[in-house]
Parts: sequence; C-alpha cells; structure tokens
Amino acid sequence: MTLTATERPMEEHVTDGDLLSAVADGSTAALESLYRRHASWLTVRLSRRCADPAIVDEVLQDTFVAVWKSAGRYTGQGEPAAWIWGIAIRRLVDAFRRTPPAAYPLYDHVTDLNLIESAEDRVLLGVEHGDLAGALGRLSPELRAVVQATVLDGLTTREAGRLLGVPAGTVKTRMMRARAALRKELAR
Amino acid sequence: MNTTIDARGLVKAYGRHRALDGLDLTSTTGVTGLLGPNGAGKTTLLRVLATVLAADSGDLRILGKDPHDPEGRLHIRRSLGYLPQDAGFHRGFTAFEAVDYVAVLKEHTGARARHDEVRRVLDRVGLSDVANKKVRALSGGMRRRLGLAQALLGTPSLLVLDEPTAGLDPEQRMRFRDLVSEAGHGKTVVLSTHQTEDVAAVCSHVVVVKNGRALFAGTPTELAAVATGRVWVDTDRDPRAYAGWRLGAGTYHHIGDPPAGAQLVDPTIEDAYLLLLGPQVDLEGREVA
Amino acid sequence: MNEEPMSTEWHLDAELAGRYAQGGVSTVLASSVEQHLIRCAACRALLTPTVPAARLDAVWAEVLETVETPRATLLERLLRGVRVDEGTARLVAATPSLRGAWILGVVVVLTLAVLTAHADGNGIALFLALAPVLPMAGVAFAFGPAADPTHEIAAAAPYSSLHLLAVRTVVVVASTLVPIGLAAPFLPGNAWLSVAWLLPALALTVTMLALATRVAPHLAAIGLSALWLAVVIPGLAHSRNALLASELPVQLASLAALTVSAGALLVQRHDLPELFRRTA
Repeated sequence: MTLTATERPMEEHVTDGDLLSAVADGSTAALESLYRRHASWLTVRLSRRCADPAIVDEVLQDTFVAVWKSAGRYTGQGEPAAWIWGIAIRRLVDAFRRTPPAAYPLYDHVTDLNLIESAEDRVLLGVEHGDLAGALGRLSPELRAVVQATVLDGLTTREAGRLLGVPAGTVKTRMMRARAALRKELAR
Repeated sequence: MNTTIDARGLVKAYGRHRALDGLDLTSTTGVTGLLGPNGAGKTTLLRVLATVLAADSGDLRILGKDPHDPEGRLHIRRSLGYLPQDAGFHRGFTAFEAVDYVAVLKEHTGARARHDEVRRVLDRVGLSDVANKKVRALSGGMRRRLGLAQALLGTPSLLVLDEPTAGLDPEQRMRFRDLVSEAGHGKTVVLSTHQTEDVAAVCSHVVVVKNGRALFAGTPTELAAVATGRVWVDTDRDPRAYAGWRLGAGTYHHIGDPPAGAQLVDPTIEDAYLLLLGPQVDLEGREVA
Repeated sequence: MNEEPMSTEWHLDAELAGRYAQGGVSTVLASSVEQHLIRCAACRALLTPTVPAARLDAVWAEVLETVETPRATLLERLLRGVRVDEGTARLVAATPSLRGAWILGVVVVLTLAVLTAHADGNGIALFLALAPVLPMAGVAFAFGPAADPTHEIAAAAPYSSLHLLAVRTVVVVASTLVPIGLAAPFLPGNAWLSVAWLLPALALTVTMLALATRVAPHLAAIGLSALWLAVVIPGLAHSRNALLASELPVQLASLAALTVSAGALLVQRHDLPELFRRTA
C-alpha cells in the first residue's frame, strides 16, 4: 500500500515497520515520520559516544539517508529501532574512521560510580541486570567500554576498535580480560 | 487595478485558417477565464500570452512590455508561469527532477534555494510524497498537478493556464480552485476551460471566445445576465429554442427566443454561454457541422 | 537472561530521561536505559523534549536534500569540471535523449576508431566517411519537441533556449572528439587523418542547424548525410587514395559551409528560437 499525498502518516497506529515499508516504496513523508519518532533518542544515544555535536548531526543525517536507501532490506524481523540503531552506530564508526576523535570520551562521560549506589538506581539495575551491573561498574573504564561496544552495541571487534581508537587486537585482549574479571566478580 | 494584459486586434493565421481573428483582451489582477468550444482559439491565445508564439498582427502589452521586443520578452518570461495544454516531462525523471529542470530554465540559481522552491511548489499541489516517484509512474491527475507545480515556481505575477482542470477528479478540482483563487490574489491568472462551473467558482472576469474573437468580456454575473429573459421552462420541447434539455421533473429547459407567455427563469452562466455560441452547438459546446 | 518479562515493568520517568540525555547517569545505568529504549516507544518519546527541535529540523532538511536531490551524472560532473554552471550542467546532462545520443556517439566513434587501428587504409577511409555524420545526428535528435517533452514550457522560460542548444551542440561534438583524441596516437599512418573528420563534422552540424530554421532538423540531418556520403563514398569504393586526394577540397568546402552557415545563424540569432519551433 502506498500513502497518498493527502495522508500524513503521523498517526499512532502506524507502526515503525509500516513506515519502513512505505519508505521502501519511496515515501519521503514516511521517512519524515520515522525521523520524528527516532531522531531524538538516536541523538542522545550517539552523543554519549561522541562528544562533538557536529559529528552526531552528520551521523544522524547519514543514518536516515541510509534508512532511505536500504529500507527495502528491513526484513520485518526484530525491532525497527534496533535496526536503525545498528545503522547509526556503524555510521558513527565510519565517521570516526574519517576524522579520528582527538580524545575518547566514549562510553564514559560520567565515571561517578557512586550514582549506582543510589537506591533508585540499584532497583532499576537489579531488575535489568542483576549482579552483572555491579560487576560491570567495577570494571576499569577501558574494559567497560569494550564490553559496551561489543556486547551492548553489537559491534564487531574491528568496528569496536575503530570506535574506541584502539587496534582490533587490543579490543580482543581487553574483552578477554573483561570476561575474566566479570566471571571472578560474579563467582564471589 | 493594474492592467496586466492589454491585447487589441490580435491575429494569428495558420495558412488560411485564422486561429485568432482580431481578438481583444484586457486582464487585470484576479482570475480571467477564457470560455469557448474546442478550436475557438483559446490555446493559440494562451500561447501568444505565454510568449511562445508571436501574433501576426495586433497590439499586445503584457505586464507593460512588448513581447516582440527581446528585452520585453525576457522581462515577461521572468514574471510568468505557464501550464501548456499538454505539459510533458521526461518520463524517466522523478517528479522532483522534472520540476527542478524547469526551475533551472526559470533561472533559479543556487542549487539549495532552487531545491527548496521545488519542494514548496510540490507541496502546494499535494505531490510532496511522490517527489521521488518517476513521472511515468504517476497517474494522469498527478502529472497534471505536476504541470501546475512548475507553473507556480517563483510565485509569478502572471499565470497562464491552459485547461488546468482537464483530467482532474472532482476533489482535485476543488483543491485546484482554492489554489487558483489564492494565486490570483494580487496577481493575474488567465486560464482556459470549457467548464462553466470553473468560471463560476474562481473567475472574477470571463471572456467568451469563438472563432478567434471575443464574443463577451465581463464578470460572471454580467455573463449570466446576457441571457436574462432568454431562458424558460415548458412541459414540452420547443423546437425553436437554440438549445434545450429535459429536466428531472419532466419539464424542458430552453434557451433562445421565448414564445409569448413563457415561464421565464433566472439564467445561469451556462445558459448565457450557450446562447452566445448560437444555435449551432450541442450541449457540450461542440460546434455542429 | 530472562529480562524480557521484567523489562516491560519498569520505565523511564521524565527525571531519569533528562538525566540520561545530559550524560548525568553512570555508564552502567545508561546501558540499562539504552537496552530498554530499543523496545519501548513510550520511553523513547520521553527523550523528544531533550533535543532542540531546531537542531533536528536542520538535520532533517539535510536528509531531505540528500534524498530528493537528483544525483549528478558523470556527464554533469564533467561539465561542472570545465566550469559550466550547475544549472546548465543539469539541463544538458539530465536530458535522457541527449544522454542517449551522447553515449551512442561515444560508443560508435570509439568502436570505429578501434576498428580503424586494426584495419588497413580502408578502415581509415570508412572512419573518415562516418565520423562527421555522428555529431550532427546527435545534435539533430537532441532538440525540438520530439526530443524534449518539456519543450513548450522551456519556450516560455527566461533561460535562453539558444544558449542551451549551443551548449548541447558543443557537448555532443566534444564528446565525440574526446575518444578520437585518445585513439589518434594509436592510428596507423598519418596522424592528421584522425582529426581530418573534425572540420567536416562541425560544418555538417552547423549547416544542419542553419537548415533547421527552414526544415525539420531530422530531415536536414538526413539530407546532409546523403550529400556527404555521395561525396565520400565514390572515393571509398575506387581506391583509398581517392578520398585522401579529395581531402583538401573537402576541407576547404567544409570551412566555407561552416562560415556561411554560422553567419546565417548569427544574422538570425534573435529569431532562432521562433524559427526552430516552427520547423522542429
């Protein structure tokens, strides 16, 4: 089904999947709806991985241009949000390959681990990750960044290396060390 | 009120056939409708007004300029939007590319500003969402609106539209009328049609054209008034009427010279139009051989 | 990891959303938030107020510009490379008929040139006979209503249709010249032969345009092709030297035709669009 010009597909009942298939059909209105729904959280999440707002905006733009071109490849399996994030994080990796960041504030804007100790956070994390949260929190920033890039953002070793500005081999060794540390923590 | 178009005694001949035969036309800001049967010379007149065609003789001033003079012509073209009768686009273009191509021809410099203008006019005619569709994939009504979109580029002070409502469905026609009324605000629109409803809905001025001449020029109300005392209803068909048709209630609507004691009714624009064309036409306004 | 059923039970509130957006939560908590956001549209919506609308609008404008803007073709980029303005490059390059004529011209000329390089003297003679006709045909079929459905709209536009025609003509002629220039060093014998077609090509093209003020351009092209072939074919049939011997007269005649036709076009330059419209 294609959306006619008079319909503005902003209605709540239109799912992201519907929008993606309309985008695959060449609808810029559907692309705009998708953008309005997802641009904010993508910007926030990207900003946690890149301190330069200009690069974040560029990556956001590249992401939706890529969504436009490859919407037809979305299979309908899995969360569209996850699919879009997958594009965004890889565009960020590409952006870093073009202009390597001077410093690496990545994944580590705030190192104040005391935050985790607040009652509210402990409840939240207990629900989401159990003991793992505490264990992760005690990892060194370098190891934690590797765990985040590979486990939570789903990047390959090579991509994680580009994002973090270290060789792929280093990512591998850090990941091994992180696993060992986590195992030890959880076994306690 | 500024006179946008001032034409006196325009003549344009193709061989022996005189498409324009001493036509006069005055247009000011607002919407002027050219009403007439096929072959009346409407398209020829609009092509002359659009500077595509030069008249053989007659005086013509458009926006105060002479279209025969290259400088004057350029000035007119810079303030002109034109929808030809068969506005075509490369079928391999997207809707966006098609309008963008015309925007370049209309001297919209600076790619970014031009693209924004293209998006604006596509939005005006409700084609934003098919901007990336190929022209060949658009419906007939959409292509017609695409033609209208390119005419709106740069908000021209003179819009020349040849049969703009042809091929539009009733809903699109209503939206089109809104668009034209809006475009006619403070600007000049000249359009041709053979729909008297279009004239009643949007035109502030109407000119009835037949055989390359203007038979009438005035407001739609004045046009309807031409048929005052010439329209009547009767229970039987009156063979002396110029035109007549059966109404739903079993009575007949007649236009012509009413017999004594006939039951006269208020005339419509259509009545007056048919009366002006004379007895030799059928109800679609086509001339009968 | 059986977090699925639990994840639906907790959500962000505005306070946490704001803190997360400002980077005010720990990395570990942020990870939890991010995992949740992927699955929860309501919580994603909580982040909408945290990014200025103007910033998102600006990025969206860029996305739309990239997505809708026609991509520059190779020809267009070449034209802009030689300082043709962006608009004109679009007009020339975006015309499918011209693109077709251009590609066809390049392919045919290149093929001929390659064949010539590997053939005997007759190959060069054949090449010299056919090459001049191609740019003319390309130009003849690249203008007028038949080639351009936007013709009527273009006629009412301020952009000079003559300028457009001139640029298109130059592009068609130049595009056949380039492959020849590249192939010339590889041709056997006198290198002059490889460029001897140029003057007749220009003469035929300009004469066709001059004739197009009186007759339809494709008819003019067909007539001129016939005339040209009548001149060169006999030489080709008898011996290869026949063509070569007629070269100086042919070149001089071409120069004369080019001068006369260009002069005729120049004299009528203000009326040309009107004249072309009548014939095309």
